[in-house]
Amino acid sequence: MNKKLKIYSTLFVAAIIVLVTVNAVFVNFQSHSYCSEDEKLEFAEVPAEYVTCDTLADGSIAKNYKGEVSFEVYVTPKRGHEERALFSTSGNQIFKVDMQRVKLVVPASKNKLGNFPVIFAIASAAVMLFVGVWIFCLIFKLISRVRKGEIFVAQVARYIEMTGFLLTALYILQLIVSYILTQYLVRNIQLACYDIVFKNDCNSMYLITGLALMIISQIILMGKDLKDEQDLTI
Amino acid sequence: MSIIVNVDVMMAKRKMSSQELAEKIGITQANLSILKTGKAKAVRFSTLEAICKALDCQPGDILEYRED
Repeated sequence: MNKKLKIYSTLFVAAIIVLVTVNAVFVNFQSHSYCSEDEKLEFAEVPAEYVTCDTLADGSIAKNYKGEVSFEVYVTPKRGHEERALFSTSGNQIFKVDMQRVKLVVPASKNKLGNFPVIFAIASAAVMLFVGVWIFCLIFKLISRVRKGEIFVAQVARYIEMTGFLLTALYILQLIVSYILTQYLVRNIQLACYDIVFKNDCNSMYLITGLALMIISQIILMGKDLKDEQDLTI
Repeated sequence: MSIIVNVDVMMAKRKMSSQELAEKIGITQANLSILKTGKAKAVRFSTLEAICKALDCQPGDILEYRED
């Protein structure tokens, strides 16, 4: 058996086992902080720091949104707050509102976190965009080769392997970026009644597809060897 | 490869051209060239039989084992 094929198929099986285990056993990785007495989570009117309303000459109201910075994070109730929850009462129906992924927005003028999260997020998005464009180019080249009838050739196998490798790298990159950003926010943001937690929300299809493509590339290489042998049989 | 194909030697002995042999055994000249240059990975029994018939020889006259 091809050595690379052995490695890729082992990685594939390991990835599936890890993904299933992580999703089933570890729902999220959290760090708790204790609540203080003055913490408050309330539904209130939006302060003027976020948006101001001006009445125009014709009587209509123009909203003037201020510059703001936002962070999307996963949250979970703090220890000691499990018996409390948000409830929505409307008509005869009462729903418990479970917050999971929330967007935290602060006015840009009051952002105490510095530029690190924004710069880090933009830089990682640029890298991911670059990788995405690279994958697109590889797929385009691959399709052009296949349309010429060249399937069992080394170049096609290399394109498929590279695409798979980049997809896997994209998944790992997303995971690392998400972890680093979440850890930074956990250290620097205190939320009332809720803890910020890290949750792997990266699309695992990138990883599965990437590893599957790497396996397929090795199968194509084996097919190429068979084809060469067949072509050189007189 | 340690299997040597001596088709060209037999062709020279029988004073037969590549074109003539290719026509007799029913393969292209390109494939005959692959066979002569030792690039072939395998030879079908039917091809071997046709070559032996055309050159009036035994398979052992065409194929030879030499240690690398």
